[in-house]
Formats: sequence, C-alpha cells, structure tokens
Amino acid sequence: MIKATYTEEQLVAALRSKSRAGYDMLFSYFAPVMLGIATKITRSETAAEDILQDAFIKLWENAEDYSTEKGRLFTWFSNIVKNKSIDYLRSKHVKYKIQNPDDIVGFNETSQVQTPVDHIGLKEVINKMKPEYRQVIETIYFGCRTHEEAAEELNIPLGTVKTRIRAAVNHLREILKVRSGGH
Amino acid sequence: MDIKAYINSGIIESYVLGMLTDTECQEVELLAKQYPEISAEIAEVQKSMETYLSETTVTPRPGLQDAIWEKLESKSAAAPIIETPIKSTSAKIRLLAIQPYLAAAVLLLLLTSVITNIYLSRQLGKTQDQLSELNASNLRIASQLETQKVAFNELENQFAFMISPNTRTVQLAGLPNHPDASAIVYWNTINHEVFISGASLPALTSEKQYQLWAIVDGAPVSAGLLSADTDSALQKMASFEKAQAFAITVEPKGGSIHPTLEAMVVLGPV
Repeated sequence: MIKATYTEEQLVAALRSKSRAGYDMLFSYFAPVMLGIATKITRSETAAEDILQDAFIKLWENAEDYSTEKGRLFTWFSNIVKNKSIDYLRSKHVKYKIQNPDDIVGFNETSQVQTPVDHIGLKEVINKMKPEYRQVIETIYFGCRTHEEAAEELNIPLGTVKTRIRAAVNHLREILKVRSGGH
Repeated sequence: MDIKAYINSGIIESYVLGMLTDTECQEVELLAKQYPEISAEIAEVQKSMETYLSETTVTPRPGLQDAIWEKLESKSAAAPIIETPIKSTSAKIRLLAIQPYLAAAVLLLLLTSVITNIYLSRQLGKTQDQLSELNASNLRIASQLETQKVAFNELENQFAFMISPNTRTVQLAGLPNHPDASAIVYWNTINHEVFISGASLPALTSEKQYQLWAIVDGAPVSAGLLSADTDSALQKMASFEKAQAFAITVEPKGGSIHPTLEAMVVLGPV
C-alpha cells in the first residue's frame, strides 16, 4: 500500500499547515496512488503528472476550508484526480475501454505501474476477487462510466447496475475483512 | 425512511465510485448527516475502495515532488494571495471604524420605529372613535329621516284630504263671549274623516281642554279632545257619517261625556 501510515487527522493537519514538511508528507502518502489512478484512466504518464499537480494546487487553494467532517481526505483527493482525468479524456475525445480483468493485470505489469514489495499481500488479496466483480469496479471506476454505459458494457439491465456494484463492493469488503482478520 | 433498503439499493457504492449527479450526491450527503448508519456505510465503502485503489500505484519520477512544490510556491507567491490578508485587515479596520455609526444608525432606526408605532397606534384609536361617532350620528340622522318621512307622509295625506273635492270646510266662528276665537273643521263626506285646525283659540289653563262636538240630528256627539300643541297642524278627530254642525267647548282635562254648553267657544254649521 503506502510506505508510511498516518491518521486522517495528521494528514489534514499536514494539508492545513501548507508547509513544505506537510507537502512532503502528503506527497509521499498520496502521489503514488493518485498517479496510479490518473495513469490508469488517462493511459498517459505525462497527463497523470499534470493531473497530480493540478490536484495539489486545488488542494492547496481549498486547504483552509477542509475539515474532517467533509469526508476522508483520500476520497476528496481521488475525486479531484478522477474528475481531472475525465476532463483530460474529454479534451482528447478518448474513452478508456477495459476489455477484461486480465487486461488490467497485464497493464499493471507491462507499464511502469509498480507494486511496492510491502504491498504484495494486498495485490494477492485483490487478485482473489471474483473476475466478474473485479470487472464491475474496474469498468466503473477507471472507465468512469455512467449507470447507463455500465449497463451496456456489462450487458446487464440498467435496474440491476447499482445492486451489482454493491455486490462487487461487498465482495471486496469480505475479502479485505478476511485479510485484516488474518493479521 | 427504510435505511436498510436505502443502503441495499447500492446508492452508497454509486456515490463513492463517483457515478451520481451533483444533486444525487447532495441527497446522499444530507441523509448521511441525518442517519449515522448511512455515514458509517459510506466510510466503510470509501475505506474498501481506498484499499482497492492502493493496489495500483505509480512511483513518481524523481524531481516531480520538487516540481509540484515549486508550482505551489509560485502560486501562493502570486499577487492575489498576498493581497488577501491586507484587504481583509483594512476591511476589518473600516468595519471597526464605522461600527459606532452603525450602532447609532440602528438605534435611531429602532427609536423612529417605536415612535412611529406609538403615533400610528394613537391615530388608529382616534380614527376608531371618530368612526363609532360617525356611525352613531348616522343612525341618528337615519331615524330623524324616518320621522321626517312619517311627518311628510302625514302632511301629504292631510294636504290631499284638504284639497279633495269631497272635503267640506266648516268655519267655526267665535261666540259672543269669545268673539276673536275661530277654528276650521275639514270633513270628508265620502270617507267621513274629520280634521281640525285649532289655529286661534285662546290659551287654556292646564286643568282645561278644548273638546270638539259634532251635532248629529240635534244632539252633540264628542269628536275628541284637541291636544294642546296642535296650534298650526291639523289634528285628526273622530269620523262622522253625518253632522249638521261642529262646536268646541271648554271642558275639564280629559273631556266630558256631555258638553258644557255655557262654555262653548266656537260654533259652525255645515
């Protein structure tokens, strides 16, 4: 996962300090995963770097207004990265298409996307996910699909998209629970 | 609200995965504030997704960390950010400076409002008094009008009676002991109504009263008492089918059954 672990309060304090030390802490904690999201959506490393920079600028501009009440900092950060990635794709008229979960794994291995050694455990856990559930999350999150697009792509009725996503996330939660329980 | 059904609908996952519109997001956030179960579920899904997303990481190229920091520094060194605190300080100072005036203005407004209220309330009371006064006087006028109408109708009837060709005017002349006295009797031979105008009869003491008599077939029949205040107006008396003469006598107050012939004042043949 991420090199060091910080509490949510420490991360927010780092952001609000707007200091170099705070920035370094946030960068080391968030940059690898945010670059991972942006690279996966845009399939462009330079675009991902620009997106990360823009996201940090946005974070800095809104640092004073941020509070833990507004949700997890990770969610806020990743939403900014995701939205900026979608904007990038729109400007390029590109739509990222995921063929199957193997493709994702392949992407992970052939590109510069790295899996740090201490995250191998997590990678194994995620790989235990049922492919159909993994496909749902990958298609929707990294494909940035709407409910309608997801229904078409996953070839399921529109009315069952939400429950399918819930089933996929619940499956993920079960696997993660087993993992944390095993520690 | 069925929280379980809401959570089971999968909307939380759609929310966390960023599939909802802004409006839908606001709805979820609002409900999360109200229902701890929903906010707990959101946190759980977020943590799971966080872990899931953490699987794929890209190691930043060397220099990226410094490059972004320089960008952040140059952004914060830009004019607007330096200006902001100065602006807000001077704004604060200005606000402080005008505060006494502001307070005075507010107080003045409040006082004006109170005084206006008192004044208006008094005016309202006055207006209400005037209104009830006007209403009372209106009623008085209306009742006066009604009285006038009745009087007018009466006069009209009397006039119609007097000018009717069937009404005979009987002049009652003063007798030797009252040579100046006189009265007029109006007698309608068709409807037999009798009116008297006692215009010039000498005044009487309060124990005495004039009484009109009709002479029917040689015998006097009472036609009623003359009221004291009928100086000019006509007074309706008892009706007679036939009469040969009319006479007025002075009688004790309340009248007599038989006339006091020696106290006869006027007499007139038909």
